[in-house]
Amino acid sequence: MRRQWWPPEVRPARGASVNRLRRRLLGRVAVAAMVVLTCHSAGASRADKRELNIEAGSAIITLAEFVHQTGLQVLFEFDAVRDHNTRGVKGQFEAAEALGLMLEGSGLVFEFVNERTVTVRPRLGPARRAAAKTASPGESSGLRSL
Amino acid sequence: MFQSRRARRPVLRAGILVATLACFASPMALVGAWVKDNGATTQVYSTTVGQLREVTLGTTVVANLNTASLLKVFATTERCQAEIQRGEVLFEVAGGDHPLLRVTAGNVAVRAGASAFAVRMHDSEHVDVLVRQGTVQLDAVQSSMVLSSHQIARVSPSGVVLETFPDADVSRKLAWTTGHLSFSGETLVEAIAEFNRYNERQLVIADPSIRGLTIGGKFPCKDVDGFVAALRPIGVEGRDGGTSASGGRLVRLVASRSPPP
Repeated sequence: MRRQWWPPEVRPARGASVNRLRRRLLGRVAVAAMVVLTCHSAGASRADKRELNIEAGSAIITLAEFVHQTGLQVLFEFDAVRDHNTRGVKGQFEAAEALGLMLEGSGLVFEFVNERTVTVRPRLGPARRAAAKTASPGESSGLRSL
Repeated sequence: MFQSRRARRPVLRAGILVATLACFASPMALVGAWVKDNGATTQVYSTTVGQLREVTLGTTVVANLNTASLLKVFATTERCQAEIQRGEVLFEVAGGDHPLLRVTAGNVAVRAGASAFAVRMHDSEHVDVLVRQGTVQLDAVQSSMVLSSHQIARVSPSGVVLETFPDADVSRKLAWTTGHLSFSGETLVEAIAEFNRYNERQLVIADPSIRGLTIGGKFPCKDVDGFVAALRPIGVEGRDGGTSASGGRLVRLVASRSPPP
């Protein structure tokens, strides 16, 4: 004889309708699926396309706005980035696509270290930045044209 | 007409007694004013390392406890006294402008009506009070003052230092209420001190050359791995540092051997 398996919490009680229990079980499965989907969508990822509207301006402000609008984690060396300006972006973009447009011509580059975390830094490392400053001491913002 | 010195002595003694009683009775009467209502209860609320907790005190106050905090509360339906014994709490008070909440933290007392303000107790002598909305009355050992929206008072034995911040900075300082840390020019030393408040795993700087590195950005309070990974492109590496005296794992931060080109 084939035995019907039920989870303990929905095992048919004497006289209960099997259909009613099936509906209850399906309801629980649906709720669980919704919870899983909600949890999944709560964490932003670099691959998500989202509507962005970030004006051009100081990198310190525009990167903060990028964090706010994308929900991603961003880290940058404050003193190395503060003198740089970025371009504006408006429309539907993936995070990497938007950052690429924002940082174009700014002298800044970005690197995703995982799906949710990105680091922004000057194109030149500290040693080459120091050398560039020594070579042209009057052009503190010269990196922007790179 | 004038009584002798001997005859005046009992009157003098009675006067001294009354003055002494008045000295003690006045503050007690003030305290009593907060606790006289019927139905008052005393509760203790706490959070562990990394935990955030929201509790409702009476009918008009919501308290958000930050990591590793301890709050003792005496609340009635109308008024509330709270004592921060450790950590940081954001209070949101609804209602009128008359004082509904009194908060003490070490040597500092704050009285507030409708407002939103955070009190961070570094220790009993070092306390920060940040007002997000409304005004509060701050009473410290050296001085008393009214703090307005967007002001922070840093109280220490050397006095009270007042600063005013734009709205964005106030939100950034209170990013912990959503489980985040937001940096805007803090040194690496300051940034890892903040991370360490929320995590058993502790970051330590093992290389003096990176101490002054300034940090910008936003991270979940508990994402130590993400933060350490994000430091790599700017020339900082995390290495296993063994176990601390308290049993937590240590991550040593050092300058990268191969910094970015």
